[in-house]
This record gives sequence, C-alpha cells and structure tokens, in this order.
Amino acid sequence: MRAFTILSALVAGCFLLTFTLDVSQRKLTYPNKETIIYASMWAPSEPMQQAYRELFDEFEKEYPQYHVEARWDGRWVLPAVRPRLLTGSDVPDLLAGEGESWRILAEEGYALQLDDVLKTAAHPDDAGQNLRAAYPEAFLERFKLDGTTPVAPRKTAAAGLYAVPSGVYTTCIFYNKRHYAKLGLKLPKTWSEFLDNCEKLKQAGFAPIAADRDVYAGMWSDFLLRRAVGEDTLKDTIEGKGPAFDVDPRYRAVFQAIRDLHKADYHMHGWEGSKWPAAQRRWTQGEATHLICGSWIVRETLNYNPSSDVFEMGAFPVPALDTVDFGGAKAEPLGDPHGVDAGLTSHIILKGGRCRTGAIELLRFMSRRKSAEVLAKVGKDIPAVTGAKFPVELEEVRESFQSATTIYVKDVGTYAPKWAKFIWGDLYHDFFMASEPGENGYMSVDEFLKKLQAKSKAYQDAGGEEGIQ
Amino acid sequence: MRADLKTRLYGGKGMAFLLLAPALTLFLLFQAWPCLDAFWVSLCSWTGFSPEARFVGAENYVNLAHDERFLRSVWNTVVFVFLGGVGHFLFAFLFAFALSHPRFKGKKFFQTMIFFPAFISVAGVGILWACLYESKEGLLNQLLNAVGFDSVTWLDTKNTLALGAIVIASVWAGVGSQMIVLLAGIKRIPPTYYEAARIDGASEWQTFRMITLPLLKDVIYVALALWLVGGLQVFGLVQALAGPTIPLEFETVSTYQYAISFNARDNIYMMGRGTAMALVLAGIIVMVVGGLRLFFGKREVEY
Repeated sequence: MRAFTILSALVAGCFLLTFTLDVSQRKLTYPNKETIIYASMWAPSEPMQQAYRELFDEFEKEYPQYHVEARWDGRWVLPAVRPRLLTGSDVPDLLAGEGESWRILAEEGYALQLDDVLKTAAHPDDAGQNLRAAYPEAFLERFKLDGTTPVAPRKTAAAGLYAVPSGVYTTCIFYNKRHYAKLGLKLPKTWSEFLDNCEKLKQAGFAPIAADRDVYAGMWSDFLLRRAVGEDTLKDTIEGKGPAFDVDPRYRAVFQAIRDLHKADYHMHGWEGSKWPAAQRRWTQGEATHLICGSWIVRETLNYNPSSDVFEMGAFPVPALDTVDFGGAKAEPLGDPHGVDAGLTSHIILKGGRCRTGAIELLRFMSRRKSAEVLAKVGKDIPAVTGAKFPVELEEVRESFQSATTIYVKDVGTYAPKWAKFIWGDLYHDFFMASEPGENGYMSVDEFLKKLQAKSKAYQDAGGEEGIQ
Repeated sequence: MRADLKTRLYGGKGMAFLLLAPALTLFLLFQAWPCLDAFWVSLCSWTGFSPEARFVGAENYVNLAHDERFLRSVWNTVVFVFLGGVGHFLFAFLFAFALSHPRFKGKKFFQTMIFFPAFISVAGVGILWACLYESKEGLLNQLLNAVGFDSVTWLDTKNTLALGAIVIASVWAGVGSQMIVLLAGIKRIPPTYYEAARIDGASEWQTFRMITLPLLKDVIYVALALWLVGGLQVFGLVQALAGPTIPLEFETVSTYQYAISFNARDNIYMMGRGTAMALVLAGIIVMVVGGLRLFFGKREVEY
C-alpha cells in the first residue's frame, strides 16, 4: 500500500513537472527577461524564417528586456496552436498566419481587437505617425469584422480590426525574359496578344506555359473572374443573388478563354501528371516561358540557381480579355489590366498570451519600414508596410502595384470556403484536367457551367456556408 | 477485523482491482474517454476551436452519405487496400519463399535490400516516388525513353489507374516488412515436413501449397490484419505523393478527413464531419478485420 502511495506521488510529481518545466526552463535560460512566444507560419530554413530570425535578433538588441521564442510551425500553425488555445496553456503571444487564419481566431474570441493598439505611436524609426498609418488602409480593411458574424453557438464577434498585414503576395503571369528577348516579343496587354505570344513561343520550340497538374491552374479562373465579372458579382452568384453561371455570358467568356489555352496545346509536355514543384524547376531551366503563380515564386526558386543565359524572371499583369464574346454584357472592367491581386499574410495578437506588452512592442517593431525591407530583402516578400522597398526581383510587380486602379483582395475562400471546397474544387478539376472528357477530350464550357450552376443551387438550397456542417 | 480487511483487500478482487487501477485509469483516460468524446463530437457542429459545440444529431453522418467526395474517398481507399494487398502479399510471398529456399545464395544481402525501404519515412517515400514519376526528368520515364517508349504521365488523374502509382510506391516501401513476417513464419515450420514431402516426391509448388501455406495461416492472418488496418488509414504516402492539393482521384478517407477537419489553408474547420468520417473509417476497419478473423477461423497452428 505504501509503495502504491509513493508510486502515485511520483506519477503526480512527473505530471506537475511536465506542466511547469517549459516555463521554468525559460526563466532559467533568460533571467530578467520576459518571453514573447511567436507562432509562425514559416518553417525552419525558409527564406522568410531567416528574415524573421534576423529581425528578432535585432529586436532583442533594441529591447533587452524581451526574449522572442519563435516556434516555426509552418503552414499548419493553426492546428499546431489549437490545443494550446483550447487548454489556455502556453498560448503564443503573437501569431503569424496565412489566408483566413485571423478570421477563425477573431470569431472564436482568441484574437485581440487591435483598433486601440493601432492608435498608438509607431516605432521611433517612423516617428510622427501612428501605427495605423504604417499599413495601407485597403489592407487593414481585409481584417475587419463587422460585428454581425454569427459564431456558433450563441456568440457574435464584436466589430473591429483583428489583425495587421505581415506581408503581401500577388498573383500574376511570370515569364522568362530571355525567351521574350530572343523572339523580340512585347509584353501583352490583351488576351489576344498573349495568345499570339504563346503561338510564337510554341513555333520556336518553347512550351508557352509551365504547369503542374492543377496546383496553380485555379489561378486562371481567379484572375479572370475577378476582372471580367467583378468580385461582388461573383459573390452574389455564389449566394444565388446574382446572375447565374450558365446564363451570364461573362462566365462563359472566362472559361472559354481558359479552354482556348488547352485547345492550342500551350501547356508544357506531361503537365497533366506533373507534381509541384517540377514545373517551376523546368521553367527556370528555360523549357517553358510563362508561369501563372504568386509572388512567392521568387523565394521558392531562390535555390535553383538558374543559369542567367537561359532564364531571367519577369512578371506582367493579367491581360484584358478581348478575344471572347461577352454577348452584350459589360465586363467590369474588361479584363482590368490595371488591377492587382493582393493576398495577405497577417499578425494576430492572441488574448491568452502572457506577454501582451511585449507582443505589441514586437508588432510595432515589425511595422517599421526597415523591418519590412528586411523581409523583402531576405525573405523576398512584398512589403505590407507603406513606403517600404520591394524585392529587386519584383520590380515589375512594384510598377503594377503603383499604377493599380483596383486591388483585389476578396478571394472566394474568404467568403465562401465551403463552396470553394465542395462545389468548385472537384468540378473545376474535371474541367481543367479533362477528368470527365466531353468535346475534343474536354468537358465543354457549357456543360461545366450548367453543372456549376446546378451544384451551386443545391448549395444555396442547403443554406450556403452556414448550412453546410 | 483488521485481518479481515487485509484479506478482502489483498486476497480477493480488491487486490486485482488495485493492481489493475493504474492501467485501467490510463485506459479510461486516454482510450475510452476520447472514443466516447469523439462520438459526441461527431454528433455536433464544431469548428474545433470553440470550447462549445452545437448538437446536430446524426446530421454529419447523413451529410457523409450524400458527400460525393467522401464516397469517392471510400472507394479509393478500398481500391488501394485491395490492389496494395495483392501487390504486397504476392511479392512478399515470392521473396519470402525464395529467401527461405535452402539453395538460395546471398540471403542476407537480398533480405536487407528488400527490407531497406522500410527504414525510409513515409514522407520520404512519397517525395522519392514523386521524383521517379516526374513527367520529363523522372527516372521511370528516362528508362522508358532509353528503350524507345514514350513517356508516361504517371500521376495524370485521367488515367483510370492513377491510384496504381501510389499502390506501386506503397508496395515498394512495405513489401520488406511483410516479407520479414512471412519469413519468420516459414522458418518456424519444422524442416522435417519438407524433407518428408521431398521423399514423397512433392514438387516445389505442392510443398508450398500443402505445407507452407496451411502452416502459415496464423502468420498470414496477422500480416493481413496489419495491412488492412494500415492500408485503410493510408495518409502520409498519399499526402506526400499526390499533395499538397489532393485531387479527387487520389483522395482517401484519411486525407479527406484531415482536409476538412482543420484546413486552415482552405479556411475550413468541420471537426464534426471529420470526426464522423474517422468513426465510419474505424467501423469499416473493425468490420473488415472481424470478417477476416471469421474467415480464418481458429488461428493457432499446431505442429
């Protein structure tokens, strides 16, 4: 009996030690310092991780009272943080997430509302302005809740701003300048000029488009739908309040333009079975000319060390759709060559963290132009901070940003993620990959739109996003 | 009185419960309770982040029955398990039989070579085979080109047997483990049986069919059960070989479950439906392994 008691005490002791060891370890290793726990969407050895590491070292020198404990959880940072949020133990102070990570954290009450924080002064390096002025207002808009979002069950997240942008990525058509120079091609402003260039490249023995199966294929539709149909109209159609997919000629026009790329056989050999990142490697080896991708391609290809004889990266915005019949409907605007897509990564301060003051200081530090420029230089990220320099490799993209008439920020995934997953994903895959062949080996555009409309109707009847459990 | 208490505590069921208590506590805490909790979650609509969940009854299960992607993922999983099972056991038997033959030279070398892929992590195997399958520079296509054949787009979802590409990788990685299990079973069979068969003039095939196979029944059962449990849960290999975005043609129950349970990248958090999927999968596994047990009947083989 006595042995049993001792054993039980030992087991209980071990449990207690497990819970306290992490914290005590920090206190022993960093005496007289407060630890800021930073959960990151970047993984070890990524250029962005190296850039942040550099920034944290600099921060610790400037603020010796703090130590930044960075956890490089990678893209699955949210699932990694989830148990800590639920148990309230060892919650990170600051989280760097991608896409809509901020939304779930805000809606579930884990994210700190930042409106008041942004009213405070910016870092002394950017003296004379408040923190809010560091970020373009259009980007901040993206992280606002309007106070009406119903959160299951029985809660409504308060209106306000819940995150700040930590970086920007844009999607455009990247191309090999060497090929363009060799054939004397001009950058296309319209879809017909783009197709002309593709044809000339094909005749010259270059694959006009590098592609891996359908990893980035969805970007064609993303690009074109936004520009030809408009973000709000698309949202209305998905919700059953706008023109139907199989009725409005603008939808037909977009998918016909995508189909035209297939018909002319512009994708590189073997693309249907190619797995990421094979296409981007073959692209940097000079085999193909265009690659539809996000600006992250710069850091993803950093280690490929392409030969400058065969490859030099360039980028141009999506050309205007002039080859297709809009059937009298007005494209809004027609292709929009002056629009720029901006996806944002974000920083979120978590309520359960133990070092909120430190987290706010770190956020302030990272909102400096100088910090954004480190991310741009080392991590090849487009700065989310006003006035910071772009990475040199994205000079052409910078020009697009500066002359942009529209900045597209509303990805379908932001307002209709379940439609995107359950309705759109597989159907578009069949359309793009010819998994369900129709005319000329591919599903016809009309058939695709008919199916898309029917499935979207079923989604609306089921109650849309809220209805799908 | 005191002696009576002692007898009751140490002599009867009390002692048994006392000794069982630590293991039972751990079992209840870490096995039984999570299972019950998972069942509760499967009856709820829950993001996985909120401390609260909304009870929806059997809605998640009903939705699964109408979810085309889920049904397709079940089909893909069954095809994977069947084709993979055939591949694994065909080659495992072949290798085990060959390596157990008394006249086979270099047993240790071949045994190590065949078993070697088992040392590689599943993610490593997936990435390795993705490189081998690559449309242009992949080793397999280069070999085909070298002997005058056209390249094959192995992972093209238009191919009816695109899933076969994943099965091949799985067989390559797993055949060694199955072979070791079978080999251990074969070595356990007394050599006198084979000597008697040879004296009676039995051919190699007859010896295999009449002696090796029946006496390996219990080993085959274990190996098959392990394959079924692992195969029905296949995740890492598919994720590494066909991901990051897994097309319908490669989706398995586990990859789909993962994708909708906490998919931050797609902004989807359907923990309730994901858990329902996990329980359906667990049910399938229990039924299949139970069926296998019935099929094999009494498992112990006596010599």
